[in-house]
Amino acid sequence: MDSFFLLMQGFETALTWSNLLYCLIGVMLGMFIGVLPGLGPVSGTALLIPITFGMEPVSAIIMLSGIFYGSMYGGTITSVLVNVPGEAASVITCIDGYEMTKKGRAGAALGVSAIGSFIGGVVAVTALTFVGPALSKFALKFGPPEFFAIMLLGMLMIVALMGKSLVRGLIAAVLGLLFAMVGQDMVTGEFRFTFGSIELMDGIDFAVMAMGLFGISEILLNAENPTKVKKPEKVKGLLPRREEWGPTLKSVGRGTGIGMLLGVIPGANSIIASTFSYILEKKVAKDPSRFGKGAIEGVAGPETANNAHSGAALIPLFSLGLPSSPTMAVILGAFIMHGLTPGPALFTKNPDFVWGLIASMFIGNVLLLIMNMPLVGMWAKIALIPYKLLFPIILMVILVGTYSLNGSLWDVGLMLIFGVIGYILKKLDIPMSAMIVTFILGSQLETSMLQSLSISTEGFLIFFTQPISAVIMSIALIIFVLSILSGVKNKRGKLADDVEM
Amino acid sequence: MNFIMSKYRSGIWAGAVLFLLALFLFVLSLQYSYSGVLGPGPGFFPTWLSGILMVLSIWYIYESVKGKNVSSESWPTGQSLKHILFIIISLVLFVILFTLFGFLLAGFIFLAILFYKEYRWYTTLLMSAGITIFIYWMFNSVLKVYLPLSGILF
Repeated sequence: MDSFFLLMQGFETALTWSNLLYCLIGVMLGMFIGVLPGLGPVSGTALLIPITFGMEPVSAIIMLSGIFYGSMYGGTITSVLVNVPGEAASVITCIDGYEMTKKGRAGAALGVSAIGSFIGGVVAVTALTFVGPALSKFALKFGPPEFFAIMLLGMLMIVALMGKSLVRGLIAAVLGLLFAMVGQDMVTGEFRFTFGSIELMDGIDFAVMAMGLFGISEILLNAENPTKVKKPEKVKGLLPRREEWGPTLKSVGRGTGIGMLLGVIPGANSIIASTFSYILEKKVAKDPSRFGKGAIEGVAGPETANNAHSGAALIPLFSLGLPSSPTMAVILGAFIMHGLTPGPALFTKNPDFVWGLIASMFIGNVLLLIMNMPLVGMWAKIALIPYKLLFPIILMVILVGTYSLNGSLWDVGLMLIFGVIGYILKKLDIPMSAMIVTFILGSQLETSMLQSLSISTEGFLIFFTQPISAVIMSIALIIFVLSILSGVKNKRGKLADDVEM
Repeated sequence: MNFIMSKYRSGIWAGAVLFLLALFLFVLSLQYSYSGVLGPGPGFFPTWLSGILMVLSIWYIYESVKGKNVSSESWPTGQSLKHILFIIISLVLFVILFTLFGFLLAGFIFLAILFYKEYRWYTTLLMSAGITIFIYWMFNSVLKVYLPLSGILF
């Protein structure tokens, strides 16, 4: 029950006028990013980090998280209305959502997604409220070997689950770690890979890398095949028919479960969650042939799943300091920039911050429900803002944002280089997500390994003699071996294709 | 067939570039001390990582030669390639102009270049000026981030 009272105190923090305002701005920006097909949650959060620079840490993270879960709501609207997914997690919603629109039931499709998203989001944040502190209490017993093992597991999971080819995933992960080595070594103070440049001595700034890799490269990719959004129809009636309520709520329940389960697993991104939910809905349906022809469960399930996922993804981040997806890595980067270290100590060291943030997510979900039910027509119009007007402005915000980090044009140049690198990596299908996660964990991974070895009497064996770390290391090894085997048997391609459908 | 061939080739090229990068970093890593007081030194991680990257890049080349798990993305050609290069060049131009003339002029010219192809000249001028001034105001007054108004030249 402790959590409950702490949460109430959190509401005190979150309900101040300024934090309420930042929460509102955050979820609105999230909706905006979600609705616009050319901009995803990763680049959205990354390019707004510099803007949060002057804010209080709690306000800054309230806003950035709002962008993240808000975009999950917004992505639905264009999927349903014009068959263009606003962000990747809503791809699956296009199948039945757009069919419903063609039958003149766009309102019902948007209505159930909003309700489902709300339920999924709120349940996941409730889980965070109670599971987060418990998990972090458990993790407080962890020493360096356990943290090393957990980070290794997280990285391997991401590599194992993302992208078509295992070797390209591994390349991305190692590249990320190598980029993290640039600058002064934390333990001995020696400079590594600086090539005599003063700017590189501080290492590579996380925000610089994220804005380039995700922001610039996304604009370049869009320049190739611009998405054309046609005028959406007017939305009428937001509620499903009476006999549809039962099955809809059941699929919302299943979606919540799947989303939360996959949310805590590193590397299982929200696309996997919504796809799984769709497959499950089709399996349990009495008449699977309705799917693809406007089945309401095919909209409710996946949309719930991706929102439950986004809430649950914060559990490993808050309690273990482990980002499970690129967006989480960006938010982790923002934590660090504001002088906070996510991890087991966060709940005890910065309770005001954590509980304020969690409370703001309840508020944010309510705001989003309002924005998505009565005001949905207004958001649909935003999708009509021409991209040719938007992309120069986005580029400008990225440029000025990068400059504002340290007031240095050197950063801007580096950011542009990362933009081109990101574009090339995308073309080669080397997963950038793996790279950004290992980059942000790189120095911690190294430090925890060195600390483990310095307290160890038996060298590297310490990772296998400590019970908890031994278990985690074994899981990591099993996953690694399995993903090699699946690569050899060529099953990976099939799984990746499933996700893309 | 030719089309598919070029897809294979990009993987081989990328693998080769990665191998050279890894080799270069490996040689650099050897300069940092491999072991320190507490066990592994600052050279430990870089040496292993760049070593692993070398092995991975050879594996990548092998996979590309075999044509397994080839990336389904295609490289841009013709019009879209031009469009991408145009954006990159204007970004670089912004950095140069920023150094020379400061933010306001650089921002204005940058936006004007990108809008010019799509809008009439007077719309372009008005929008570029308006957006630049708005962003300047946002960063300077609201977000308290100082953007220089003048560069090296004036």
